[in-house]
Amino acid sequence: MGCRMTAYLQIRDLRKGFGEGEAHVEVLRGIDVELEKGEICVLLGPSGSGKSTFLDLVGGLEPADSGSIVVNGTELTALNDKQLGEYRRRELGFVFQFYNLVPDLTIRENIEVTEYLSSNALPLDELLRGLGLWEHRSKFPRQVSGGQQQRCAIGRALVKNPGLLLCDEPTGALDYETSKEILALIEEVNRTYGCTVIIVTHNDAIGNMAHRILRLREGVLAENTVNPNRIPARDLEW
Amino acid sequence: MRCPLSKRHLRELRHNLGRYIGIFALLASTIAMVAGFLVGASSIERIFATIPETYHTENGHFVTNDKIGLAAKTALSDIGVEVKENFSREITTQIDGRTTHVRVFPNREDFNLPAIYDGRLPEGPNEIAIDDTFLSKHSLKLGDSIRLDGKDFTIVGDVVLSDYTALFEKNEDFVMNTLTFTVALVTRDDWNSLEGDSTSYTYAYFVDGYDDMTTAEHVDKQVDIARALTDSGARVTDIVDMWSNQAFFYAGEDVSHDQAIYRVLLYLIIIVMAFIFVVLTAATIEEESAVIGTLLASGYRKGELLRHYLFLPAAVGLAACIVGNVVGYGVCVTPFSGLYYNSYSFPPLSITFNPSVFLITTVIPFAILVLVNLVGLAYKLKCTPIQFLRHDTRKHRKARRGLQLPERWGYIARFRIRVFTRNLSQFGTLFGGILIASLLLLFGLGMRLVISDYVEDMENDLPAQYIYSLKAPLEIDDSADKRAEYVLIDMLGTGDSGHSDEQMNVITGNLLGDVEDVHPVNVGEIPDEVKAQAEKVVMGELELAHKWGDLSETITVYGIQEDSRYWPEFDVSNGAILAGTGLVAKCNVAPGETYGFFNKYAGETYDLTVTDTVGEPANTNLYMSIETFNRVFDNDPEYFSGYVSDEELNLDATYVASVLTPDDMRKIANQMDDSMGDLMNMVVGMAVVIYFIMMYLLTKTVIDRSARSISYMKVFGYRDREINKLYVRSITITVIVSLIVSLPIVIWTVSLFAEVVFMNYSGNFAVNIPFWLMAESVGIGVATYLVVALFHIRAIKRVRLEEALKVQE
Repeated sequence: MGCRMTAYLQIRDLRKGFGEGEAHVEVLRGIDVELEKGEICVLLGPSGSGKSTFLDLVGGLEPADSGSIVVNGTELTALNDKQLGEYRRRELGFVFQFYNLVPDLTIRENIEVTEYLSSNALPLDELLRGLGLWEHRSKFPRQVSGGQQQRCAIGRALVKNPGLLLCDEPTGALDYETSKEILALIEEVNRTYGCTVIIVTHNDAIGNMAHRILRLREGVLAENTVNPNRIPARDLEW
Repeated sequence: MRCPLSKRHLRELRHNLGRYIGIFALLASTIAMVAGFLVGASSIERIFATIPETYHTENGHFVTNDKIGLAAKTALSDIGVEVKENFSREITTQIDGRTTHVRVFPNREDFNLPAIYDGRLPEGPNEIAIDDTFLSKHSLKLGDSIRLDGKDFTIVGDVVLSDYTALFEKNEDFVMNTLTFTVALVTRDDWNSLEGDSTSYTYAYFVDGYDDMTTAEHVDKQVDIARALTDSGARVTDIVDMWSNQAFFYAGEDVSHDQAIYRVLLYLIIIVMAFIFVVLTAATIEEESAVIGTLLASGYRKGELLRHYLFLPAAVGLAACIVGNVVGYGVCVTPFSGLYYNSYSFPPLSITFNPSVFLITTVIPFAILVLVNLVGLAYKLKCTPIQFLRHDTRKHRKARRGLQLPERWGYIARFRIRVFTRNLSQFGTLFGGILIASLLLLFGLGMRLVISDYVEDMENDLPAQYIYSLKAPLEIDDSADKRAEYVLIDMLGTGDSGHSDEQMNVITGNLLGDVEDVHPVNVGEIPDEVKAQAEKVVMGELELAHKWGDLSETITVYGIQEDSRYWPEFDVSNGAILAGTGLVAKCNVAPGETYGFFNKYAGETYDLTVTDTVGEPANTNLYMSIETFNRVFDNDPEYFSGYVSDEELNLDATYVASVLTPDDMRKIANQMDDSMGDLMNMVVGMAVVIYFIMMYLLTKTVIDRSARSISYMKVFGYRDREINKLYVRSITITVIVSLIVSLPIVIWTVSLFAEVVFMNYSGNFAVNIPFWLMAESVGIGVATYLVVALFHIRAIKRVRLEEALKVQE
């Protein structure tokens, strides 16, 4: 039997429910999945299928009811709140549908906010240029477009050079063209920095850019496939 | 590397400049005021503490009816007591159209020295130096003249006498009298030439090792002095230790008492301001909930965010503490010290740095501010990153959001209720702020009323136009033969005073509590009808422990006639003992209960059972029949010590200790009003400022938080007036309801506060807040709010339509 490298992300029989008694709903019902370092994984599924809950559990924002999540060798379910915080500080970058930028900090300063957290941060000026934000670096979020704000949010997630980039509906608030730009940016970031990326979306078309496609349906992993025919993000259509 | 979030602080400060300036201004002004007051008060305390040494102030004094001889001086020297003549002439004159008593001393050279404010001590004829407080009260200045004994004296010195830091005319007086009494110095020659109404043979005494003695030892020494004087033939009419002499100690004690009130005031305001900071910062946290969630999800620690949100409250608080102290030391000390210098006669002020004031006005307020914010913000940041991301940070938010309201209530009523429930924490803090501001306001407005009520009660409780307190049981109803006999004895009397040994013995015996069965007879003529309406009374003084605290109430005990025409309602037959209603409030006295009344002079406790309570709320006297009184206190059955009369009695002044008239009550009212008026006006002003800043800051948050909804309303077509009706009217109703609902708590607290403040005063100051005063208090609150509402109406007008079009999660 050949020796197999340990996966960057290993999830075993992951379960999560909300509510108590009759109101209890099991959102995730025994998820098993593994991701390799540097993979782009797109998690698809209809509303209420458990996509965001999955992301929250992997991000250490919610505790699992049972099962195991191992990220880069760390078992998340064994960590307390403080250790989870340190895990997020060290390992994660988050991008949300709404950019959640600090309104009274400039674009540059918003990125600096997380640069501060990292001991091996990416070069900021280079990142700003790569994100296409160099010209806008001194502007405040209200002075730039939604797409530029999302670029800034991605920069904020990336600058600390995370091992895992979690994107929750990153294009949900953007128009078609801007969405494709943002997805292309994520793709480029993955290629340049080698981070593992999980993108949660309900847009099936985005799955085409992924190395791996996961599909959740009613809390169960209905699809876990490697995508052999990846399409560059710029060429995606929907 | 500095946390990049810190770059927000200056921007946030600029963005909400009005808010921070308001908080800063209130904090800094409160701290400045209290620091100014405490620095002034502690400087005065220090000055006061050094008076005995600096000005060689007496350890006490005694008054005799004549100069004492060598034998008395030797007797005193034998017990370690040195005496100095401190004679004075009492002169009545007219100043500012008022009958004024001037107590004139010859220049002092080696004791009870004066401090000179301006000018110099008298050096030539017809020159006079007068007490500084009196001069300023009457706008008299150097070069002006006053008329004494028919001669004009030019004021050459503005001074204070170290034994008169408070102008108490008599030690028994309830309050000092800066309006119609003063002390003055003239040259020895001028003093010799003055006659005045009378001469007081007062001797200042100095006791070896006085400072190391306890209070009980001071009292023992007093008795020793009185005995030594009596045994050597001197006739003592009064003896007072310096710490029982109100003219000396009262001012210093008053300064100490007031500091506690200011400290409480400061801490109350700091706590409210700290809560305002918590509410405002909590609103910011709610507003930035998603950003916080993102930062936490990115790995920020809660401690880092806590420090971030704590920074501005702490920085503003620290700046307010520093500026408040600088302004307090630099600007406020003089006006606040002036509050005391307006009433008391302290030596000139020299300001000294006091580390404890720095602790009280800087370290503790800053610590309170940071601690309250730390706890409040830590609680607010307790939510999980997910809760922040979902804007689910308010514990009861869901319950309030889902609050079902009956549809029959109408749309506007329901809308307003929802504005109220959505902003409960703001309104809760506003209620707290209104409570404290109302407390100050009602305290400021009510105290003058409490004092005037007290004086009115006391006036109502005065049984007669004259209450004479006697040094010995002076008979007025004896036969003409007896009077003639007494005149003869009088003429045969020895000594310069012209009084006989018999007279002197009864006076001295009375003073020492050694009452002899000897009744002098009044030699002056009193018409029969006047005699007929006068009644004998016997009066004494006892102490009863206050219902709380370590202090006790000094109670005047009256022995009255059983069928007295002056106390017709008081049934003191069959050994009944009646307690004034004030004792119920002050000492928890109840009918049927027995209490231990202490005689501090005799060191004995008397267990007396109170039969009933009588009189006005200010009345703290005890009443019993003369017979009961003399039996209880083991006096001769015929003993008495005063008269009550509606007509003036022509009594021999030698025997009269004091006369109480309704005019004295009015003097008390005038003096207290004069002393407290400025302070109370300041308290009212402070209350209005607190009302304004609190109402503005907290209600503005409600408008700010509703900006998006207001914008929607505008998009829907609502007019500004209609939006005001929904939002401003909701706030208005809440403010008015808070002002009214807080009243019972405020009245209860003011009563308690007044009880604490007045507990050290003799007598019971009942707090009775009339309806008009409550209406005035609410009216001032509403008027202040109306100004705030104008700002809100303008703010609503300025809410832009684009607000509604912003991306919303």
